Amino acid sequence: MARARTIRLWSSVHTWTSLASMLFLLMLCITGLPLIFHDEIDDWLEREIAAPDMPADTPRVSLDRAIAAAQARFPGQYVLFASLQQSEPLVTVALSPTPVPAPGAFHRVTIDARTAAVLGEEAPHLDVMDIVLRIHKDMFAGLPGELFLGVIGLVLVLSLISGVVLYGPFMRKLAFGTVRGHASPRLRWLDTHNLLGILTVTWMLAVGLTGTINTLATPLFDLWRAQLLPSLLAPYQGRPVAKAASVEAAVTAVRTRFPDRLISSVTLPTAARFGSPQHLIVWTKGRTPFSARMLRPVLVEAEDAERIVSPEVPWYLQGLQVSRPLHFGDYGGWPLKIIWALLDLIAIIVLGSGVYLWAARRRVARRNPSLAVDAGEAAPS
Amino acid sequence: MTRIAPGGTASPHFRPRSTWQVFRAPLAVGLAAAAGLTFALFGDGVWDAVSWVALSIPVVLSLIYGLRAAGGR
Repeated sequence: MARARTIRLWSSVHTWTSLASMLFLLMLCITGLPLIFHDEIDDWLEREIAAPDMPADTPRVSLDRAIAAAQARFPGQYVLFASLQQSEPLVTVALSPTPVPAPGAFHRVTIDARTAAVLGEEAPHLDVMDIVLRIHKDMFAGLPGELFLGVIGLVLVLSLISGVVLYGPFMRKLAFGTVRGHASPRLRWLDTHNLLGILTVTWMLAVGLTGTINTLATPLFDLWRAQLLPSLLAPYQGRPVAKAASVEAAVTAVRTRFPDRLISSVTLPTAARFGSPQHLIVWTKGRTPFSARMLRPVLVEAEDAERIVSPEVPWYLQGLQVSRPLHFGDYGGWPLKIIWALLDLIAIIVLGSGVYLWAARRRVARRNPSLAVDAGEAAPS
Repeated sequence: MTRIAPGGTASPHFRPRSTWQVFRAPLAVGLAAAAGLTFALFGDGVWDAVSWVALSIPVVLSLIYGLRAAGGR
């Protein structure tokens, strides 16, 4: 009897964790589906800007000139960062009217890296995909919303673990893959729920856990800054935010020091929480598919490009960076994205059938309370 | 077809299976999926292809068994 009680306990864990997170998980699955293909959708909506054709060996202008061209577009605004695109000779410069930008309220100007011509600019706005992303990420509730969804991810993990535990007694007398189709819709959905759930649980665990880790990005980055910056900034106590002498010089210095790494972007000196008031942060990455995802910041003093600090990337930022591709499914070409989408659809079926089973069981329980116990159906011996 | 009554009496010819027997197939699928998730992280080309095949296993099995259930009432 003790065994039956344990199963009943797991069963109520499964029921309540699933019900508690249901609506949010459904929202995450539905908004996540288009986000898997956001690169393709952006291309299709022609949001991406292409560089005009020129000979491959056309030299590039200095980054300082590219940034100055963007600055000329928005005089008096603050340059936040410049991203160097890898596939095209383009530099995207972000500017904000305030020194510390309001979330999302900055302009992006795309510059041709060879001519410093302005190829496009994006005013602060939200298009459909941005809205889908915001709903998926924080439901327009900022960091609290993000952290809340992180907790939902943990509830999902609990629901998945209890589901796997329950799979044992339920399948004690059934061969793998059995779906008892003829009996009743309830049995058919019960078996389908168990089967699809157990088949996709590894993927759901991976995406759920990495999703939760991704919600911690802001606090983890704050933690890293808090560990790193105070000692670096001690000599500059009381000084205003520095002005970068030359972004090009900083990037050249980093390239010389780390010839095997690519430059991904440069954060200019800022009082905002994503940078340092006295340093340029040059974000570098490796050249292999894996190391290209492991960004590594190099700090260059704003007024002296020869003074470089290259801190070890702590384990928690490495973990965060591995979590991103594993959550987005964008690390194995389009076939992986298709598989990701199919798994997402299966997850929606598992969610929906779970709710149906809960409702159907309540109906049965009202009619005949003695048959109501979920575990009784599986009858572990 | 095994029919289990709510009281728990299964048809006599199906012996209860051990935990290992219940979980070996799901475990195999889970390991394949985990390998698929990991492989594409480490390289392009062949690594990606291996990952597609491995991670397709849960999807294909879901389709096969799901369609069989939908068709075989």
